[in-house]
Amino acid sequence: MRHSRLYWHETIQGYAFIMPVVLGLILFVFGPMIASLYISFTEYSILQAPVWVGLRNYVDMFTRAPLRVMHSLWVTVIYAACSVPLILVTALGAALLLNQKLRGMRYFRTALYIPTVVPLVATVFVWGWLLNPSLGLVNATLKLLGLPPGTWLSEPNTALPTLILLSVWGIGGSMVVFLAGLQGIPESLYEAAKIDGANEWRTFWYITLPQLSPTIFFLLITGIISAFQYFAPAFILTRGGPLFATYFYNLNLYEKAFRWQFMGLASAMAWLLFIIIIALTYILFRSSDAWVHYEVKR
Amino acid sequence: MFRERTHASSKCAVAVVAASTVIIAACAAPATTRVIEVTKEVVVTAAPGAGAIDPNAKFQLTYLNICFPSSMAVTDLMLAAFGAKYPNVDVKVDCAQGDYAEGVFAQAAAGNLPDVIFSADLFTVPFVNAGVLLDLEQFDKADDSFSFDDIYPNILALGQVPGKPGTYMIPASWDSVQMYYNKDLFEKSGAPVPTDEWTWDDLIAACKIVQEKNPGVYCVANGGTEGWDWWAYFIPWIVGHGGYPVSEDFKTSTFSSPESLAGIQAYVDLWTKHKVTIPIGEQLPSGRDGCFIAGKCATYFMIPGLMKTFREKITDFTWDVVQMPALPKKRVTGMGTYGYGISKDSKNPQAAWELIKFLASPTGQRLSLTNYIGVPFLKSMANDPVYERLQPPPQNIQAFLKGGEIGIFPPNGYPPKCGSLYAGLINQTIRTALEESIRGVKTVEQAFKDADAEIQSCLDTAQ
Repeated sequence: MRHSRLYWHETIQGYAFIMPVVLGLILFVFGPMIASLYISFTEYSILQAPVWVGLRNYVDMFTRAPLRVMHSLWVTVIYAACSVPLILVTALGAALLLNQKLRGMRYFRTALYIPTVVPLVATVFVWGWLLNPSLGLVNATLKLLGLPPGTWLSEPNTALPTLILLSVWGIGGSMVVFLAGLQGIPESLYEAAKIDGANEWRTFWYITLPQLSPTIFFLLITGIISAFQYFAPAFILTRGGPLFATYFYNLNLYEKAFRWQFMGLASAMAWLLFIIIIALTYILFRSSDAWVHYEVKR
Repeated sequence: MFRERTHASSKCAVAVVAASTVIIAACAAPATTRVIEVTKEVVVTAAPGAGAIDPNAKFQLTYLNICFPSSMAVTDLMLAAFGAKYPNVDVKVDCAQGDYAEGVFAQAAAGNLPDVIFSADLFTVPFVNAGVLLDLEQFDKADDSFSFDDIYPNILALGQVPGKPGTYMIPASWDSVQMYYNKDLFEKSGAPVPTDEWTWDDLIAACKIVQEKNPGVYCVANGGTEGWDWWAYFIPWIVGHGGYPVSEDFKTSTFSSPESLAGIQAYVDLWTKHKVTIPIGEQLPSGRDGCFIAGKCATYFMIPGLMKTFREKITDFTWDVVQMPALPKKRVTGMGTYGYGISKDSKNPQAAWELIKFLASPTGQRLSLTNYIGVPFLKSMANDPVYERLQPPPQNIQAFLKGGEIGIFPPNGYPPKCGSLYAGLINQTIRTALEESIRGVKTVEQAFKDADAEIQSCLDTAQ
C-alpha cells in the first residue's frame, strides 16, 4: 500500500517531536544502565581501566560479610516493611479527617501538606536538632511532662525506629492522593449504604476501602520503591550508625562507590536493587487482581 | 561542585605586600584580628631560583582548596608571595564543596583537575594510588632554592606512600596532636594544671576533679559523633603500650596482640571506666571545637592550626597548650596535617611548584607561625628567634615543637583493596570494633580479635 505525502510528512514530524525524549532516554537512561551492567562485572575504581572479574562482585555481595550488603538490605527491608504501612495508614487517616466538610478545612490541608514542600535536607537537619538527646526540644518536652528522655538516633536499638517514625513527616503527598481518591468515590454509594443501615465502620470497610484500593495500590508501589531508595536522612543524620543500625542499602552503595572506590561492586548492588524492586512490583501487580477494585473491568 | 571563593586576587596580594612594611614577627596578630600578616620579606626571598617561568607570561593557575580558616590563611600567604613574584599570573582559587575526595576523583577521571590541589594525610594514599598527584621530588631536585632534606621526616612522611617513591604533598605545618586546655577551668576546680611532663594518669585524675566541680563539662573533648576513631587519637595508645597495629611488611594485622589490646583497652577506658570523655553518640551543638571555645570541654587534642581560631574566639578564659600526656611505655602522639600538591592535569606544574613551595620556605614558615596557623617544620628553624617574639596565648607554643618529635605517622602501607585507617574496609572494621568496645557490645578483646580476623582475611587475599 502506498502512503500519501501527508502520511509521511506527519510520520516524520511525529518522530522529530519525540526524538528529544528518545535520545534522552538512550543517552541518559539506557546508556548508563548498560554501562553499569558492564561495570558490575568488573573491578573498577574510576581512574583505572575496568578489569573483567565475571560474577565475582555478585558473589561477594552475598558472601563477604565485611561488605555488609546483606545487612544493609535487611535494614532497608525492615524500614520498608514498617514505614510503608505506617505512611499509608497515617496518610489515609489524615485524608479521612481532612475530607470532612468543616469550616477552615483548606487551612488544615495546607498545614499538613507544607512539610512535603520543605526541602528534605532542611527538614532532616531540623529533626536532628529536635531529637538531640541532651539538647533537643523533644527530650526537653518529655522531661517537662515527667517522661523519660529518648535516645533516638544515638543508640543502635532506637535509631532505625526513629527514622521510621520520621518517615511519617512526609505523608503530605500520599495524603493528597488519598484525598483525591476519597473525593472520587460516588456519594450515591454512601447514600445507599446509609439506607441499608450500614454503620460508619461498615461503610468504611465495604465502600471506602474497596473504592480506594487503586489509590492504595499506586501508593503501595511508589512507597515501596521510595523506601528501597531511602538515603538522605540516614546520610545526613546517622551516616549509617550507630553500629550500622541505619546502614541502608543505598547508603552502603554510595559508600562502596565513592568512598571505597569499588565501582564494580556498587554497580552490582544497583542491579540487585533494581531486580528486587522489579520483582516486588511484579508480585504486587500479580496480586492486585485479588484486592484492587476498578470501576471498569480491565 | 565547586564554589568560587572570593579572595584577594594576586593583584590585591601584591598591593598588600607592597603596602606592608612591618618587620616580620615583630608583633603577632592581635587575638581578635583575622588579618594575615604579610611582610616585605616575602618579596625578598620568594622563589629565587625560579628560572623556568617567564615572569612576564600571562596565564591562569587554578587552585582547589578546602576552605577552613587555617587553610585559607595559608593560601593567602602563598598567594601574596607568589603574586609578588609573578604579578602577571592570575591564581583562581576554588573552595571544594561536598565530599572532597569524591570531587577530586571525578575531576581526575574527567582530566580537568586544577593545577594545585589541597591534600592531607588522609588523602595521600588514595590520591597517590589513583595517580592524582605529581611527585614533588622532581621539582625539588631541579630547584636550588629548596630542599626536602631540611624538613622533619615524620611530617614529610604524611605526603608519602610506603613502597612508592616520591613525596606528594608539601605540608602546611609541623602538625602534631597536642593538648589544648582551659587553664581557668583547672585552676578554679582546684585541680592541678597540666604540664608537659604529665602522664595520662595525671590527666585522668585531674579530669575527675574538673568534672565533679563543673557538672555538664567534659574533660576530654573526644567522643560524640566524631574524632574518637581518628587514628591520630587511638593508634598512639597502642604504640604507647608497646604495640603496633600491623606487622612491618603489612602482611599481619596485630590489633589483637597483647600490647595492642592493652593500649586499646586503656583508650576505651576513657569512656567506660573513667567517663572523662564525651559519650559516644552525643551531638554537640557546634562540634568539639565549639565545645572547647564555649568552655564546656576542658581539654582538646588537636593540631596547631587551631591556635588562630582559639586566639580569635576565646576571650573569656585563659588557655594554653602542653604536650600529649605520656603513656606507660612512651610519650607518643599522632601527626596529621594538610598541605598542597600538584595535580597530574596541571597545565603549569612549574608555576604550581613556585606557588606551593613558599610554604616550606623559612619566610613562609615564619609567617605561618606568627599568624598562629602552623608550626615550622624546618630543622634549621628549631631555634629560630621568631619564637621569642610570639605573644601568648598559647604561652607554651614550644609544646608543638617538642611534641612534633614524638609524633608518629599512620601505618599507610595497606593494600589499596583493603583501604586504610582513613577509609575502606580497614577503617570500617576498626571503627566498628572501637564503637562496639566503647558501647559495651563486645569486650575489647572480642571486638579486636574479630577485627583482626576481618582485616587479615583481606590482607591474605590482597597480597
